[in-house]
Amino acid sequence: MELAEFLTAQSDALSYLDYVEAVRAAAKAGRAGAPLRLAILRNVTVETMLPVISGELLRAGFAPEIHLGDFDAIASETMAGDAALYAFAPDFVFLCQWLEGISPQLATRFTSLSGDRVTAEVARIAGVVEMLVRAVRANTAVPILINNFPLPARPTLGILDSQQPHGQTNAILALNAQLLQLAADVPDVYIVDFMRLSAQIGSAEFYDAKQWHIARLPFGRRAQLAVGRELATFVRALRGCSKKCLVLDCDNTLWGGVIGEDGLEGIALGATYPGSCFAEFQREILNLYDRGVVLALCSKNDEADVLRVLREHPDMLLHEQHFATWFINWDDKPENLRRIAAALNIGLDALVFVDDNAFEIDFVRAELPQVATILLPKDRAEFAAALGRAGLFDSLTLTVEDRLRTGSYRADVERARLQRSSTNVAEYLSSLGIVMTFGPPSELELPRVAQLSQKTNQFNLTTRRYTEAEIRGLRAAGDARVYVMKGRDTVSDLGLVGVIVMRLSGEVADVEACFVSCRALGRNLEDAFLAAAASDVFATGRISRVVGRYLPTEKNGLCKDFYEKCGFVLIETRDGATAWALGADQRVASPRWISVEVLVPAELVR
Amino acid sequence: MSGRLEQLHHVVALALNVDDAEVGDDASMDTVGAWDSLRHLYVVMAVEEAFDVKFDDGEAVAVTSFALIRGALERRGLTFSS
Repeated sequence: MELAEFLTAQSDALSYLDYVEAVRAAAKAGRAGAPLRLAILRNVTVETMLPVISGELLRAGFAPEIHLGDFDAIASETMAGDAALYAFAPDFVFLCQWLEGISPQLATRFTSLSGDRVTAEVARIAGVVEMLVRAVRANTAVPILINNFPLPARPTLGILDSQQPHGQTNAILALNAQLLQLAADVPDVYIVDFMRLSAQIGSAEFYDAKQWHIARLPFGRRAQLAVGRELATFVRALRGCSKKCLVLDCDNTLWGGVIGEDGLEGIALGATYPGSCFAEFQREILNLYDRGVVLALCSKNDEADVLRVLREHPDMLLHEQHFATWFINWDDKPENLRRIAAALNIGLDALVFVDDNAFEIDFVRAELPQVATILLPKDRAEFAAALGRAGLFDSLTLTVEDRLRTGSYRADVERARLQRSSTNVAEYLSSLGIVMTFGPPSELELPRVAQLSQKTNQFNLTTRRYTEAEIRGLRAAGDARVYVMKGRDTVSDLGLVGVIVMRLSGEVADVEACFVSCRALGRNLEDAFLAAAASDVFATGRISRVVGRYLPTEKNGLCKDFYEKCGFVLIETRDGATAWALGADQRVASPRWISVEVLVPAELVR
Repeated sequence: MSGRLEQLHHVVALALNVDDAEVGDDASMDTVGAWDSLRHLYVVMAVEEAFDVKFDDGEAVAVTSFALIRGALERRGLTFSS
């Protein structure tokens, strides 16, 4: 398989050999991408899984570098004295542990444990994992991934096992629950759910007894594919590469049949087969909508026909208000996808395009390789599963903003209509009644701040990513300031859409990060935000200069001139990066159509 | 069919991370430097996937040369004419 084909294929169409071949080809080609350093510590053999992990990270646009710890040396490697792990400066740490390696009794000699000792053994294992996690956390703030444990395929006590509170299955469930608690207690610790992956592909496939005995390699081939893909899903979610918008075809995708030929009564959609397949698919789409995924339509049809289905078909679950925009016409689909990205002000790489037609999918893959695609399977009962399996929209937080999102994109399209009818931009913006709320983030807003830092690519001056733990630390630090902005207007509530982080050193306030969600742009909220942040640090009386930097990436060209526009003076240029300064005697002009409210969270008022 | 023989050469070479030319009919753990016990795990996985077979534990350990792998596949009814 050619490398280009590998990079745009659906993951479930790739074999183990495809990964091996592609990783080798990429190494030869010296493929560029954002560097990503993953450290894996393990108590079992995982080497054969590395091509899958590297391949999936390549597909997500990264240039991966993997540090693999020695076999079964996790405890010593995580301790501070061991330099290799921390000298590697990982972006992610994965602690991969197989139960038999840490508790042979729980895994294979369960009947040797009495009820009390089961509880004690579960607590001991959870304690071991906690110690390792805390050792890593004491040395680095990067995300830590730990796995939970698959349920036994053949519990020692057979059918009796499920009748007992202290049975093997329940013991492992209890252990997994304690790991979940650990992940909740220590910031930026995440569970790689081996229990679910094993259930998905079947425990007989997940565990390979032969390779376990020969080489202490517990993972079957399909497990290696599944775990590699899962790790990449975590990286995408934490690095802001999760997709934002689901673009759907209509005929034979949202319903069975062709609306232009079969008519409203003729298409298949409803409670009974085959319409039930499409109803289930629509429910899956609504679940994504509820998680904040923006929906759009891209269909070769007469617009009136499709709108009639959305408005009038009694079994249609998706309606006009669910879609942020649509392009229903006879133009080619790559062109319409470009229009959708432009209308929503997001990158093409934020789109996932779903179609039942292989021609359309191949056309999009060839023309727009940055758009992720899902070709629906022949089996219509598998549509919903195909969408879920791709894992392209997975994120690790679900915030209030996620639930508001499609509404706010729709409001943008509405505003654009208003704007076209308004003669004067300032007059139009004034009519919106825009309010910016400014201040430090509250405790409850910290996950959103971290999420926004991870997801924002376009209006992001330095593209600095933060974990929740880092933001919490900065907020508490005397020599740093974290500001957030929330926006609302008469049409919609945007929620928390901007963050500025400053480091104070002597008389200088250095803007370490400044990023604003794309859906907040077009109202000059960012100008008002920078104005408020600069005024706030100048108000301390100790700061004489605010310095801001623009570090160019492939995606952030649109904020290149931001500091200049705000009245900063250029002080340095190097390799396309620029540095800008504003003196205490100067002020950033705040647009007159934005009212500013200052809000300090109650917990920070002293 | 020579297509299948070429495929086997290619699969083993990919698994060993060497060029196809390095995996001749006489290639084995003794003649190919990269073919160590760790790389052998890749070979077993790759061959099992590519030819849709499952070796038993004894075979998986024993098929340490190109000829032995080919023999194990032939025992499963796959033919390789050269």
